Amino acid sequence: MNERPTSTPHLSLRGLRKSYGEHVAVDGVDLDIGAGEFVALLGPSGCGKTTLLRSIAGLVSPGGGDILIEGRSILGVPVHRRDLGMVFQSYALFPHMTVAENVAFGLRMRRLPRREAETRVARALELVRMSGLEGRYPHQLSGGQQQRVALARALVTNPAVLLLDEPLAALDAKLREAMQVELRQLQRRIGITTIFVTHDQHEALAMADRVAVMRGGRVEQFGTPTSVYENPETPFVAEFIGQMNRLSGELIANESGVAKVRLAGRAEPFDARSTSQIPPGGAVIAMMRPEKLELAPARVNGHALPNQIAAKVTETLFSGEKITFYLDTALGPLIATMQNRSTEGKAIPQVGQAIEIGWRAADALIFAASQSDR
Amino acid sequence: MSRLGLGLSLYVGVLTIFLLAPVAVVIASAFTGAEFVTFPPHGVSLKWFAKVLGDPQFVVPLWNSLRLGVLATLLSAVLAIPAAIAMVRYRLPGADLIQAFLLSPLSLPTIILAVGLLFFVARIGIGSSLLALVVGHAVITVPYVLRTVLGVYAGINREIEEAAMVLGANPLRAFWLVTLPLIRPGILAGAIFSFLLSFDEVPVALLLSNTDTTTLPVSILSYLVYNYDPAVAAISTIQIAIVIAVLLVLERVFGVKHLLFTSR
Amino acid sequence: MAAPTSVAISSAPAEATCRPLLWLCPLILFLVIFFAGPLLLNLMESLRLDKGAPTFAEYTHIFGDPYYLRVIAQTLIFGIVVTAICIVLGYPLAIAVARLDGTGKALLIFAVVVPLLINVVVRSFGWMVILSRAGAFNWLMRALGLPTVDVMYTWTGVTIALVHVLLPFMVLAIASTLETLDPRLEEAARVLGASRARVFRHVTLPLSFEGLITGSILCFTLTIGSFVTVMLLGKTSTMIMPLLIYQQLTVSSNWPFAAAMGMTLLVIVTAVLWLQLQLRRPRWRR
Repeated sequence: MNERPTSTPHLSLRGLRKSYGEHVAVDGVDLDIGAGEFVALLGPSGCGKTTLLRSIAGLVSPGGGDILIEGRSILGVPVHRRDLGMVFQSYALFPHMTVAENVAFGLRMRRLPRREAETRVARALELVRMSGLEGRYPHQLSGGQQQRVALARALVTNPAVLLLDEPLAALDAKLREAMQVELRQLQRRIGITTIFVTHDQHEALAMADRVAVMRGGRVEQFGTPTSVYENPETPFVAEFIGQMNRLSGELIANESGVAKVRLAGRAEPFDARSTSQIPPGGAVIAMMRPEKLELAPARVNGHALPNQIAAKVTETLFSGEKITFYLDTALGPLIATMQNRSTEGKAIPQVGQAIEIGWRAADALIFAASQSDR
Repeated sequence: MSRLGLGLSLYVGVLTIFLLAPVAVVIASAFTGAEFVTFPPHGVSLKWFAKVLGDPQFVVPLWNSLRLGVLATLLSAVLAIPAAIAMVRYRLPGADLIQAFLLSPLSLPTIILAVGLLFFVARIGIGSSLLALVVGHAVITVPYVLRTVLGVYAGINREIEEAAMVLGANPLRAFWLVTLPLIRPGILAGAIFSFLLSFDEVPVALLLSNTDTTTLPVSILSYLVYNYDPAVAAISTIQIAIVIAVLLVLERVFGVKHLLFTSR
Repeated sequence: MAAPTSVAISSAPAEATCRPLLWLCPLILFLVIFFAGPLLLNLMESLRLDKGAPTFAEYTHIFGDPYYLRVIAQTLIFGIVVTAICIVLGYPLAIAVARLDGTGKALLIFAVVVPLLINVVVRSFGWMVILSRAGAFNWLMRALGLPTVDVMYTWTGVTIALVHVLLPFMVLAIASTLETLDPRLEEAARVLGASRARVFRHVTLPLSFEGLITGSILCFTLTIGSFVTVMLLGKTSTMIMPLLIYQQLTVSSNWPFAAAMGMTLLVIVTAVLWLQLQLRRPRWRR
């Protein structure tokens, strides 16, 4: 399940547990993160990702398990000695100190001589493109500027690990996109191991080297954005990342690398991605991504796509870069999306039109029905 | 003033006169040149101020009151600040009950407390000393400091303190460098309430003080029981002046004005 | 001096360690010893515990004597009268405070708060100067050709002085509730056709109820606990419980009796505060 990096993990979590009374926030988490990796903790609210991050910071003491940096446990180390950098969701800049004083705080705690501290502060501010604003107070800065100061403050002490708690959540969409790129470039340049908490899957996929998808205090899948997107291991991960069409049926058999699935609504079986974990005859959930459903599919080598079905367009939604089609089929309602290729001259299906749609076997994922909780 | 109708404006005017009348009358009487308290005062003279400021009967209690006010406030602050921080940071069992108990002296008529304290100090033998007074006043004033510090601390962003710790500040340094500056307005507002309350307090001081530790209000009171002359007006005016001066200075230095009005 | 309004505390899921107890202990201990302790001693003294088995002799003495019963009744009636006057006089002032802005508001609040900063002895002295036979009020009356009044050592004089002391509390209590009132509610009522008076009666008044309760309870408890003003302006002709207690303590040195009186006063105040808690329960979802 874990795609382990080849070198010794820089940061390791072993069986980490945390409960608040009855409520289990973190339920046995194992993670190995390599040096310089950018890892996103992704999940819905309440999944434990922030608790996990705060446990690493030392702001929360785990009920069980261990946290290791370079092989050494930091569990007994108090917060102020863990030498980590953290950017909070609210940025948490000291309102009564200037930008320079804020950034210098960590260095001051380490009793760095004034001259050296000033140099490092200047360099840190330069890194986040906030030079020249040393004398300002936090309330005089915009949200984006505050966020950058918070980043500089966290990085100036050269910490072992950088922790980010939804740092871009308070920014507006355009700024957020720009900051995603900037943050990632900064991180690559410095090469610092980074853990980034977010509930926004687009953000996680865009920025991270690996994504840990969390739910109910557990990591359901930990892998690269591509593998998490293309090869989700559980229905939850499949549906949480991107969109999915979801159908129920039963597995008939696995033959020649393809799973034969009978879906409710049609007697003929469909082809799906083969899986070894479900016994023949077992109830399954089948999922297909909307963009993998081809509309009016062309024939490949004279053969139609193995999975093909008639559909009627009930609604279309134009979103600029793509078009979403709401379809009525014998299998039930389905959603398909198509990139906006309007200039290519191909006809776009209209509302009320009857078309054929199809998809490849590899694009249909199946999961045991018991894995789902719906 | 145009937001109020004519009727309401008139009413406000009349009531303002009502509210300020006794104060104005006392201050006016202090400047009289006569030997008795009359209204209107006869002539303008500072002789009563001179008399009062030279009279140990008033000057000693004045210093006593100032000293008592400062000590009681310090004690209240030392007790209340850690308590307020603990109550906000940690979810304690029975937090509501604890808070109600800690704020309860606010609702009790002080005469009852004064009587109880009289019995108390008689029993434990500290009698009518400065210590008894400081403790007695602190009981009355500590809920104010607690309330204002609680109010301010509950409203600040806890992540700021956490950031300080992650950056390497041990709990003590984090408190001193980050928490304290942030709750300073609350501490100040509470301290002002506390000082003024102690400075003006009568029942406890009346029952617990002796000739050495008499406070200003008590000395004015005993003087009034047997005398009725402008000396009282003069010393009262001095007390009013001190209170207003303290408030103005604090307002200028710390900008506490809006706190006084909103933290009730 | 002010009503116990508790502060709403909502901390993030924090951990309960034993350290907070360490920080709370000094204050809790302090109040248990020096606040609960004296009250307990008061109770014990009233039951004459140091002389042997507890006895209710003092209480039967109080409740068996028509004079003391009258004092208690006078105290309660006095409290109600002062509170009622404060409500009537204070409400319009509170409206004015809520409606004004900027300097006007600051000045009015200043005028309301200044009396509170002045020592109660000084304020009472001020009223003595105003209300005595040769005082300011009569000077004004004579100047206007009106008959003079003599209210020193009467209930009238004491009531006036006490209303003066407590009016600021009532005004601030009501004003703070009125401030939180959404003006759009009143506007909506006006648009729907209600006259100003009806708007007040059916919209403003009910919504400011909480402030009214707070102010009233405050006025009442402070009135029945007041003692300096009554002593200076009424002497013995206006006897209320606190004055009686003080008398018994200092003049008659009758500690057990004074303690019993004190406990009675404490019970009344506690009952009133409990009443306040009941009335404060939300009558509609806020």
